[in-house]
Amino acid sequence: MASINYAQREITCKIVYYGCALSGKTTNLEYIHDHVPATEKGGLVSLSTQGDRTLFFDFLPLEVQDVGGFTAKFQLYTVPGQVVYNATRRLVLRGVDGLVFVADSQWSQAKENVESFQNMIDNLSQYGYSLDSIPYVLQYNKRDLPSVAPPHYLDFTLNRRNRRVPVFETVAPNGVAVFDCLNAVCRLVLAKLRAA
Amino acid sequence: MAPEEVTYLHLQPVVIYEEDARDLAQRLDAFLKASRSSLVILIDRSGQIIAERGYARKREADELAALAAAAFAATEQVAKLIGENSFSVLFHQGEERNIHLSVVGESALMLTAFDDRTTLGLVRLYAGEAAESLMPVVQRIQSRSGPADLPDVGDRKLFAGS
Ligand SMILES: Nc1nc2c(ncn2[C@@H]2O[C@H](COP(=O)(O)OP(=O)(O)OP(=O)(O)O)[C@@H](O)[C@H]2O)c(=O)[nH]1
Ligand SMILES: [Mg+2]
Repeated sequence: MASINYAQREITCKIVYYGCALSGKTTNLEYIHDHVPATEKGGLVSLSTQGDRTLFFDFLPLEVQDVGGFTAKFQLYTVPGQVVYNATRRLVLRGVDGLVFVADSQWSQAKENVESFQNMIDNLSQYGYSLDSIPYVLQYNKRDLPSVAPPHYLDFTLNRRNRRVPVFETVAPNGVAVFDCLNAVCRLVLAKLRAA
Repeated sequence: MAPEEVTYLHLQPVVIYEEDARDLAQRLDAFLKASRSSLVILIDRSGQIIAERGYARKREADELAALAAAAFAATEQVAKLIGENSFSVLFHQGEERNIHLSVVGESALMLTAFDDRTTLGLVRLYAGEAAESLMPVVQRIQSRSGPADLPDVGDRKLFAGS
């Protein structure tokens, strides 16, 4: 959960990238890590298997100086998308302040996306959290691939709650819309804190 | 499948004022001195730092906190699976530095790094005492709800990318 430290003038928030296996969550953090100046980031920690699949999480601490006299720190995490790792996925959600749901736009992954989205809702409920009270955005990733579902179809399956949320069409390895998406979720989280 | 228990966590931010920071620092410094440890980090269970004293390289503490909270949470789940509910300490013995991780109440953890200038026994003893003295401060911090005098970021681009 977010912390506001008036002694250090720091705000710290936890942002989790969620989504089905191979949707591109780790790739988002890698791209961000490679394109943020050294003064704004810590090391990227990846707890993964030898085949580069996320086993527990990836972790990337970012910070922005002088956000209205505060340093804003955003701790980015990914979850492991593979179905079998649900126990660890749930642990990563503890204290989450904002979510990026990374969907794999390919038709072949349509079912996996919906299942992962529902799994996110179920895991949040284990902490008494609801998507109605946590800021989140949707990312439709892999837009460069040939057989992808159109955004309105993905909206129809994933963005159908009372509150429609911002959507970003991304190509994570090339960074297309990756920072727009990151900035959007960070802004939503800060706005929510102000309103608290 | 048996219905799983729900752990209700509040979504309110933790707010730390000058006086809290001072109280925490004083208690953590006393612990460092008594236990002859080199670094202590007070961490909330989601992996965020509440307070930190002693020597850590820049940003090393963030990583330590995230990993320690995760290791603790995973071990706790393992303990639950084998029917052990009273799990409260993790210890890693290294070549030069050792890490001791212990609970501070329900919602916080304390990570201590130490070397051969002290012993596990001493660290464990004083960590228990420190937890007792830190608990009321942690509770005070966590029972507050966040104030609204935070900056408005509007449409500001926080990260430019390059
Ligand atoms: N063509 C294309 N490939 C992508 C895109 N994003 C990710 N990939 C590739 O998809 C594969 C999986 O990406 P990861 O980022 O490891 O996926 P993940 O979501 O972290 O997967 P898990 O850790 O198993 O949950 C990698 O080979 C990436 O290079 C994209 O936008 N376009
Ligand atoms: Mg991954």
